[in-house]
Amino acid sequence: MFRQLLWKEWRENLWKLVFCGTVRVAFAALLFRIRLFPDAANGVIISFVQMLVVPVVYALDIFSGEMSNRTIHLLFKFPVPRWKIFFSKYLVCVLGMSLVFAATGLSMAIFGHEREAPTGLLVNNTLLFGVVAVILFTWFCAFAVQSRSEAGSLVAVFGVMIGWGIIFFWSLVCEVPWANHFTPYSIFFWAFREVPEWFRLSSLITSHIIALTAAIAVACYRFVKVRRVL
Amino acid sequence: MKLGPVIHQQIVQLKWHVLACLGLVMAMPLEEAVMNAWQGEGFYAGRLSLFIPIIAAPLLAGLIACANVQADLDDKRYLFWRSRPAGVKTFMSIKFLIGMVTALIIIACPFVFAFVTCQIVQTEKNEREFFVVIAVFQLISLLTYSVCFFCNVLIRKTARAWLVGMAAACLMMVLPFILPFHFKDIVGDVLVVTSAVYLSITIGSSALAFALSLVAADRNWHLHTNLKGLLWAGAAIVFLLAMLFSRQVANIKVLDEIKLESGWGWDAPFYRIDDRLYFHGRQEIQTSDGRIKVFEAADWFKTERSWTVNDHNRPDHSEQKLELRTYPALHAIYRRINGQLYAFALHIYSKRGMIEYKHAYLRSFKVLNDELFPVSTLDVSECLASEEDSFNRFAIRLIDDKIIAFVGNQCLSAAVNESGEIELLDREPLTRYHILQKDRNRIIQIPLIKTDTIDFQERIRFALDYTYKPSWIVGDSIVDIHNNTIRYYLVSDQDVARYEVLRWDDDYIYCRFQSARPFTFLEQLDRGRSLRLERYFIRNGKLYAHGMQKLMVFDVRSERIRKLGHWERLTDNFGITDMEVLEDGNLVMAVSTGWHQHTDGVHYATFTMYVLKNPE
Repeated sequence: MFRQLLWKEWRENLWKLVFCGTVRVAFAALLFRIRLFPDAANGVIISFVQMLVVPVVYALDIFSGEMSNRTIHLLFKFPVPRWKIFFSKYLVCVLGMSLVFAATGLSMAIFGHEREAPTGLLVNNTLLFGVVAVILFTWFCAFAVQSRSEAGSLVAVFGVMIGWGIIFFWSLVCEVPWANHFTPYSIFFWAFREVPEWFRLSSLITSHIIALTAAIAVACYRFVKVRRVL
Repeated sequence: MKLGPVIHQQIVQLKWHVLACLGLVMAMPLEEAVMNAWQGEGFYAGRLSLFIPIIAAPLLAGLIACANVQADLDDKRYLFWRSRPAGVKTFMSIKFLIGMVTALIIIACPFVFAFVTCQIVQTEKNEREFFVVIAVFQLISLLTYSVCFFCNVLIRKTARAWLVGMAAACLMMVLPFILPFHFKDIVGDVLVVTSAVYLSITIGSSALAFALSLVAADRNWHLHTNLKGLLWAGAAIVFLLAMLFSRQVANIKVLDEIKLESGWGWDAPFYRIDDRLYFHGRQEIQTSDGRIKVFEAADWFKTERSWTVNDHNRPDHSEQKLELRTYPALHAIYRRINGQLYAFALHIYSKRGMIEYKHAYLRSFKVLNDELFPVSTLDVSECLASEEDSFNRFAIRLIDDKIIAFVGNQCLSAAVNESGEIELLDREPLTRYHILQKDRNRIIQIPLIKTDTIDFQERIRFALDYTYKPSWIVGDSIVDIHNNTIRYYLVSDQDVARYEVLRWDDDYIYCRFQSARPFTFLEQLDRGRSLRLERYFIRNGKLYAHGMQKLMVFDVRSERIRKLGHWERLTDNFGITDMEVLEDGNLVMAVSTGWHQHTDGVHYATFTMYVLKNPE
């Protein structure tokens, strides 16, 4: 049954994969063609914009769509635990986002082949941004899994992005290393040759595993507890 | 309709949105103020904390607009209040104004807080730019608010209306800068300088959006949308805009590129010798089918600087401690005559460190078996001006088999025979003048060089090139002669200006300004600096102009000057050192990209050589 749920979500969200993939590859081709900025900078620009846009596209109706169309009731009638329904949605979104970032990285590697920036650098940076996007989406799930409208989902996803941005700036300016290790954006420092003193890879990974596990647990719990009166 | 209860209802309806937005924009300034107070610097918020409120302000204004509309325009409530004895237009106007005032107050809060606390603590001075930025973002917020308001009246789904509204507002703000409207008054930093056009776009669009909102609400316009279609349409529009942008600032295609290193510093020009192209005096460039190859140059070419400086013809000059200047600088003019390669140069000797010229020679050399052999020397020292007369001009150009040179205060013309020897034909005094004419409507009078050894067109070309760009006289020309029409072109940081030669007599050329092609906002964009196109020249009806980070190609033979191509790179470690037009019509461009330290500790300048497709 879980496979069927995955298949349903995959079919429903395939257009997002096609949309994000097409748009990103088109913009990568354009920017790498016009070369207004160095290839490495182009890679960062594309990946950064993608990091902000792809989670929004996936988040807009992944949970609220079922609620507003009232198909969530039909879904809950399936002989399958609710947490499996949540995970089918979550995993398909994560897989879709990963594929989008992989496609972008690959296209940038092709467009920038034998040019000024090392191919590995372009792919690595894109994948790092992809990881950040997935983390942001996970945090969104914790807040908006019960959202009933696109507006609610939109506010939640921007809230997560801006909120973590505020925490990121605050922890950098006020030099609070433990908070830095929890912010999704601190993963960018991994791409730097010389990382800041506070940066510890092991702490970063551990902090994020703990935080994301908690976020997924909260999201799953809240999804299971969705009331029938919707 | 009683206004008081309606206004009260609207304010109450928005209270949670107001609190949420206020919390968001005030979080950073308050946090910074508390931290400053904690560190004993006083309770104030600096500019750093205003970064997020500045960015978030237009987004939040749009959000308030959507929330404001949605509260009364979802299906059931719309039917309810339309059944009441309330005028639609009045109701929507009140709604619009209350939301707008609320949004602008919320957006102003962090700035007012920062301003007041800074004034009280007297720590950071708030300059004019600070207030201009506030005003600009209030205007942008007004635009996003109005457009989102209209979109939500039309679409009636908050999230979609907000996305469409923000996209439309962005479109309105960037479209004038992307399309080549030739807005000459849009210069400088758009965030700091509010131009008349920008102001009218913002206020005009807001007013239009408000008027359309009233009509849409009155007639119950309802646009049914789906998320998929909206996203595809939005992406297509953004992509089209990016294409338009790229047509303006980056449409020259790179065919090939290679990286090079050099231990000879930044100054890396191309030298064209016969049909070959040399880079930096060290490497020979060859291109075929758009691919680029680099070879080590012949030994004689690499050691050329030493033969000019050693001056084997007159060893006594070194004893007199004279300094040699060569024209063209450091190198020579090369020409193949009957299959044999010759080099020609003007050598001037002056007292070291002083502007006191002692000797002048026109010289020719034969290039044989990678070595240079002197062929002839023409002593033209008597052309140099006396010490009392400081009027000395130096230039040399080879036109067919004639050398035209300015030496001191004389214009020389010399013939080059089949064995590469130089023979003086005539010499005429130069006319003294200077051009400081700024009025483009007046006729410009430029002295014509007095020699009968070359035809009139070449005389005019030489005179114009020397008048405007004496340092480029060897190979570059700013003159285009086509269908018996002689025109020349001047590039400033504002425009490309076309001048036409009207007539000439024995002494002067008479020219007149004809037209200009102003640079657009995006063309002038140069990381805050002026345009600075450091070199430009005409070749086969095209004007090539380049600065450190941009290259532009114009068609100058059409009725109006048209831009054909643009290359731009917005990064600091990128400097175009030189460019050349290849025989096959493509362009080759050398770019310095920084320094690289080898393991032996020696620093090498790094370059990238590009072959570009010449735009048509």
